[in-house]
Amino acid sequence: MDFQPGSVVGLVFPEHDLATNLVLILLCVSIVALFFLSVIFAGITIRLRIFNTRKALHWKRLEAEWEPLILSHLVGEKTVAEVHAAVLPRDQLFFIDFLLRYARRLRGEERENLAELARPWLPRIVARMKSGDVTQRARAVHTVCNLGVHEHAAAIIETLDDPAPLVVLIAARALAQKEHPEYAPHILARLERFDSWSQNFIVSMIAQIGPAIAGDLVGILESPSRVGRVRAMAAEALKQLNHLDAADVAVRVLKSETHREVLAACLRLLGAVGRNEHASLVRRFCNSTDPMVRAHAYRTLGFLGDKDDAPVFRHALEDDFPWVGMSAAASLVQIGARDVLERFAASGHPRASLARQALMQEGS
Amino acid sequence: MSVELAWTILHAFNWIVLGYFILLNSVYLVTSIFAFRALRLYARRLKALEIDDLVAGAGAPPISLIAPAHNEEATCVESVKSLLALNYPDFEILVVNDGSSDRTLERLAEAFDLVPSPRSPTAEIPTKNVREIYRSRRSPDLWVIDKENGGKADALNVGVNHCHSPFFCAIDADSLLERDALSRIIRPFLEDGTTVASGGIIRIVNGCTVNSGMVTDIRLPRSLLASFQVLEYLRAFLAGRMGWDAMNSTLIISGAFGLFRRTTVVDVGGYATDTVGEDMELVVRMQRHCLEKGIPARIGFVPDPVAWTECPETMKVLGRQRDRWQRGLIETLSRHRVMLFNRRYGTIGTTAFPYFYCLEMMGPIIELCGYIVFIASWFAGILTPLFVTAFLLVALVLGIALSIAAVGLEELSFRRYPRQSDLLKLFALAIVENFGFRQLCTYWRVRGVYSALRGRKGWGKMDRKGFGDGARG
Repeated sequence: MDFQPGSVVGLVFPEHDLATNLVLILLCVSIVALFFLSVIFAGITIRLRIFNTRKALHWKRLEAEWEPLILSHLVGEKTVAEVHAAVLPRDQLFFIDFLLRYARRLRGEERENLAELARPWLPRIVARMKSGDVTQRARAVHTVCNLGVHEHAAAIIETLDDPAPLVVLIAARALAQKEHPEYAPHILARLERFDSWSQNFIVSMIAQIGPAIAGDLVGILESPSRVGRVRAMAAEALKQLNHLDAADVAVRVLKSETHREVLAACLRLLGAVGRNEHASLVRRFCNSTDPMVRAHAYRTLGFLGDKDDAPVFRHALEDDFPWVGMSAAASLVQIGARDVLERFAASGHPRASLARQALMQEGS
Repeated sequence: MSVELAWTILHAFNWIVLGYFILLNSVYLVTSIFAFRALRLYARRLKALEIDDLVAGAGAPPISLIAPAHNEEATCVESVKSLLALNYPDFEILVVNDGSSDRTLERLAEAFDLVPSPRSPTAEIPTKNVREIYRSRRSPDLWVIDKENGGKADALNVGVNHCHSPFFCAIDADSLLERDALSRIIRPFLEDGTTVASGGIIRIVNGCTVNSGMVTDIRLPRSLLASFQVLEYLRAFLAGRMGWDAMNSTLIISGAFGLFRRTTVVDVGGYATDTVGEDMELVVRMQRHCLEKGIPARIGFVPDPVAWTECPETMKVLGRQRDRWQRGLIETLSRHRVMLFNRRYGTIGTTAFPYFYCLEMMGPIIELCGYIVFIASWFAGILTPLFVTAFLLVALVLGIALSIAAVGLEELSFRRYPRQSDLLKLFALAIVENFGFRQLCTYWRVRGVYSALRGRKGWGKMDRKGFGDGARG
């Protein structure tokens, strides 16, 4: 091939042929476009800075103006009308935001008084609970839940069917109230919707409704149509409620169930509300092939068993899974078999530190 | 014929450089756009669900903080004090003294009244021998595990073995966590039960005022080299990691601050001890493991929990750090190259991994060769001065645009630098860094590639000033 610079389609050649010029033109256009892009980015950043600074100053001014009025209203010195007179129409939503900050800190009558201030403008936020993107809906639900949960309970219950888990959770948290167990069935019916959330979080949420929902929780725990995770959460909530009648339900479930989360939760429940007569059933699970179930069984047996179980626990100290050993060590302390643990701690066994730790924790 | 061949190679290489340049910067632009959207959504989400409520409602799952320490006598006491002051209901601290040859252990023992105390392991990841385990009498939530030297990954594995909480937070012993950092970094685990790891943002403490282990006044560093790194970190975290997170393709969680589900880490065998990039390697291995086994798992980045860290202020130390980072990247990507362009691994296999493999790993070599070939082409008359100028201008303006976009993302989200002068300085840095600093980084990364090819191991020494009260860089 007879090589001639400029004949090959390359980037640029000394002679500015068509291809070269094209590339150069593209580069020049890119420079101009990128330059403007940089200027636009810088402009946006500066504008954001100015906007944020102004917004902060505006907030500061409004805060200084509203705070004394709100405090006066809370102690009964100012009427709703007097406070509202200080709020310009364009600042009404800012005002709601401002009230929201207080709402989390107040309880009882004070909170009612605060909600009174938000009442006339809250319907605007209620309308937003069904429109906008997820975060806008979530924010609206959060606001309404904090400032007018009872007036707008029906609308909030409807949001339990929102497609976004975040919106559902905010609504559920607001409705999960000890004083209003009538909302609970709506939440319990939708527990499967919370599958992505931390189990402890959901359990705490439903347990705070109180003993009024124990019957519903028992129903969920026994219902094979509910998913295992939800049944486990029901068992956990019953444990937190210390619902003694749940022991017999846990026994029934343990006899027929195979789902590991449900088994573990029922064992934990039995550990809290079970009786000595349940120990024999629990012993069976100490031989489970699942280490998680085994660990919970040993821990539960510590609560329900007696000193005769010491050899079983001693054996479990050497279980392949350290967590099982730790449960067994804690249970040995529980049943008062310190001597077994002390001997093991002094034995030089690789797991001896586990026994020493259990003994130390007991002493501390 | 040989001249012809040389010319053809030069041409071809010019095209490769141009392609690399366009591809790399397109990815940066795309991640910045994703990050923009994700940060806006995140800020709104924060408003909708108060973090303190969430943590209080969840009963705050216990967290073990694992802080490996090797020859950290200058900063260890201050760092531990700041960790003890964290605002989280249920946490413990495991400092793993990795065979320090200085007075790290003695300083910790004096400051916190350490006494030998048993603590049983919960996992059996192979590690170097543990010599003794201490517990503080002054702060019972503080444990110090003294072990034989085995490197950072080995120390972390010892911590994982002795972790009794469902989650552990891996941090550098010389980092300062913000008071609410744990409440914020646990959030993805509460919101999504499939989360197995989440990373926080690393910010540079140089120039800031530190009092009682807390950053009280945030400023840009006085040193130009450190200031460049502030901008670099903003780009890397707010534009890069936020963008990759939005695409659900996180491959890196900084070793200085990341929260992990203990069982998943134990299942994959803990940190790899034969790489200097153990943080990235673990994340890639966890992603790979979960994708191969069909385990639903999310690994994400959270932009608001902050760990403050001291960055190098000398070329020598910075060069060593970048050399190490590049080696870590190469080791990790080579080890898991089965994921490259492999659909089995979803977006990670088809997008994130190829990006890191082709652009971040090979990038420095292409870039350096690009500079050389560019100059050669110019001298050979293949490229006209007009073209060279135009190309360099494109590179310059694009670099500036991306850096300013990162500053914009910071302004949009967290506004940590409230002084107007700092904002203007960041703009200026976005221009100045293109003249020398970026080229130096390329050189250090090339050196990292060379070190990796030679099979060099080890971390190199990092000099620390410490965070004494009122410290300002």
